[in-house]
Amino acid sequence: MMIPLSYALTLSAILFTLGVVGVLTRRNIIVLLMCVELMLNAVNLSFVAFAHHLESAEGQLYVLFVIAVAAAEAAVGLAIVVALNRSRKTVYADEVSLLKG
Amino acid sequence: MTLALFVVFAVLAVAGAVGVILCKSPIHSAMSLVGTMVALGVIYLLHHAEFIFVVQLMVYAGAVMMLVVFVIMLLDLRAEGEAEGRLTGPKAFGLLLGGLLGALLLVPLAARLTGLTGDMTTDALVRVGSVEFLAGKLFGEYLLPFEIVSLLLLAGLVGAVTIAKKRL
Repeated sequence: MMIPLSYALTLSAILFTLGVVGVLTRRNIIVLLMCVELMLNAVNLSFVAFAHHLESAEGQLYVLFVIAVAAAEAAVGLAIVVALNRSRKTVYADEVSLLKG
Repeated sequence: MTLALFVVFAVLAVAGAVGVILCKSPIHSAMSLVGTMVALGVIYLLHHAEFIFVVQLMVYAGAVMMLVVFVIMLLDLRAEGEAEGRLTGPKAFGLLLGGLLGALLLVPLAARLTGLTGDMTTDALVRVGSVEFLAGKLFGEYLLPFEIVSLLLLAGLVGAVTIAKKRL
């Protein structure tokens, strides 16, 4: 028995929305990065669901590329957090306002 | 049975995601995110994406989250203060924007698919196996993107080390 495509897409939309809400409401930069990972995961889910329903391997291959890009993004993002914590002693996004006019 | 499992793990995934944005302590958020990722991995399995399931567990739930937990412990972060709990103006605006986006994301559900399908049929998967099928595509048709990804990972590695170093 197959999972209806609309179920997977709805779950994907819910997870993506939760990720966006997290990015817009939290202050901690590490939590923001985790919410970005959550959004990437939501998109991966819709890729996999479409790959299954359209019987196409491309969806799953794109998921592999997205995971690789997400790994690189997490490494660079966390390095920025470490550097930020070292120079400004904060991990809160609203306290980093060097570029604010 | 498949549908019941999907619903159970979908609920777990959403619960984990809610935990990520509600938990005060970053380490609790990270653990919730691991739960979401494992639940999503099981959902990939239900969609017959066995290789993606393994990669999800090893790369996401394993490597990326370990990196996040390491940084949280390295920086010795405490739970956020009082200002985090209250519903302030920007936070309410964020919730509103998120809700609007969620409504927008559900619109394409009404769209109809073209009915075109690819060559990853159940028959082909049974014949060669899903990992071998993906590998054939990845090292054939998609070899250039694959090599570009390896360059990107190298650049990310060098960039992360350079940024996090004490003195340049």
